[in-house]
Amino acid sequence: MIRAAAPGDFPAIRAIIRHAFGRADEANLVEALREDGDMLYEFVAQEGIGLLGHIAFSRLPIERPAGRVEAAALAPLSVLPAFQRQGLGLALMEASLAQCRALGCKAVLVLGRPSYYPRAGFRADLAEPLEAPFSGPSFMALEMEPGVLKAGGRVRYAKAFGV
Amino acid sequence: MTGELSATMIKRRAPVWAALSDLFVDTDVSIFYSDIVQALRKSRFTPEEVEHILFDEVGPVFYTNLIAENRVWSAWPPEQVRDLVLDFLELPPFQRRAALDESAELVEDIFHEHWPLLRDAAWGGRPKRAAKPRPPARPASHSPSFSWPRLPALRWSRVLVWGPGLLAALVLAFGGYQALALARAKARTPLILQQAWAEAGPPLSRELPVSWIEALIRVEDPGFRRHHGVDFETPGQGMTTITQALVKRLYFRHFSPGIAKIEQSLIARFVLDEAITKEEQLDLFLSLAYFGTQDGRDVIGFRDAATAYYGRALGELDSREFLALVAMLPAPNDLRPGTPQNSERVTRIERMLADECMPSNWADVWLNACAQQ
Repeated sequence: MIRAAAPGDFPAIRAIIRHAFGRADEANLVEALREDGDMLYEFVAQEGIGLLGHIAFSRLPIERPAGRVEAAALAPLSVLPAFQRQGLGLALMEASLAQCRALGCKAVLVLGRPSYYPRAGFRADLAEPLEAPFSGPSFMALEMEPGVLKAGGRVRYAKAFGV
Repeated sequence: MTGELSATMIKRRAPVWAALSDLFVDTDVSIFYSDIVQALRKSRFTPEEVEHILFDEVGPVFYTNLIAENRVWSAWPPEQVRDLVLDFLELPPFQRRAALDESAELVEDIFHEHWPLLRDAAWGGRPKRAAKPRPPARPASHSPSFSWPRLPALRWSRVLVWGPGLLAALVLAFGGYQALALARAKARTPLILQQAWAEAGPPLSRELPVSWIEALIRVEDPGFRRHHGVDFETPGQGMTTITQALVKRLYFRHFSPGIAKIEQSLIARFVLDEAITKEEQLDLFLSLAYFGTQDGRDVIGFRDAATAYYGRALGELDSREFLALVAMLPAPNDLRPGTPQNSERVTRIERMLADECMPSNWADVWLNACAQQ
């Protein structure tokens, strides 16, 4: 079951992220995003009593001379090691992308494995016109409104990312 | 060490070395019992001295026979035993230490298996000091070595004089035995842990949901994060904490309740809980807990249990299936997943996790307080 995260889930979420990445940086990032009020929403994958995975979407405005484009950053996506490769990550992405669409996001950006995120529709070439602290095949985008990123713009990551 | 052993001492020890080496022959060594007892009696060593010889002189030389590919199955010639032991005693201390550490567990097993019988037979539990002749001299119609001294008729004056002393001596002897056991356990710990980590594989607590781990702790050992290895207060743990369960798996090959339970508790409290963190204990427990015997093979650890009982990887189980494995732990062979006993216990566990009930006291391992009314 994929559902929105609640404050009672936070300790378990911390453990999921830490164990998925093998370090605490990403878990700290999530907590900082919450504190700063930059978090858009989080989803968890639950089965029975167990939380198995987590995904976070934070605000990511793209600034242009003509105005702002409301976009979101997908980060981080975590699934507990024993439960990986069962499609939980994809299910988490599908649910949270649908939420983003419902909230009126125009695009979503992600920095991650080029072999994985294209499965959910992310493409590196869509992110190329953007002025961002990242580039290359790991920096990928998904457009909710086709062509919305063509005009480029400056990507403003939330403070917690430290970029 | 041989520097301390004079020719006469070697002459006195050699028959004991030969006798004790028989315990390491790969056969039913009880056939050697009477010869061993003879040799021990003749040597006039005390039981403590012989124990020392077994652990520090004979064990580290001959234990390899029980793990070797080609095992010796008939006794070694006495001269060969003497030469091998002397060679060992001449080794530099660090080399001897390594052999002592490696042999400790096996020698301990041998000790537990044979020593009580041999000691009783050789020394008969008789007091060391020559006591006053016992009133009714019994005809030596049976082997005196196996008989306990007959108690003289009870006289209260005697009880008052000797009773407290005897009790104190018993307590001291018991304490001494336990202290020795603890010291041995401590010495064996680094090697035991090294092997345990190798056997355990990657830490499981980092692969599983927090709620699964917490459920395990709540069922098996609710006071786990607070206690120091033993816990006689928290309801539900049934006198066996996770630390104690680990001690049983790591330090004992054959575990029988009784004195071993006390030893287990002492090792849990004073050795293992001080040697590794709670998280490490948890990881070792997750990977090394005993899950019964399936097709003649011991099922060890949650990973193995998932494969053995569900034919799937641990990460492919759902929460209820995981709890069914947790439910097995108190009596793995009687509580296999799929049995009515197991599903009844899972239901009780789920009610407890949902805070609908609490174990009624420390002995309520079966969660009777959580049975459906």
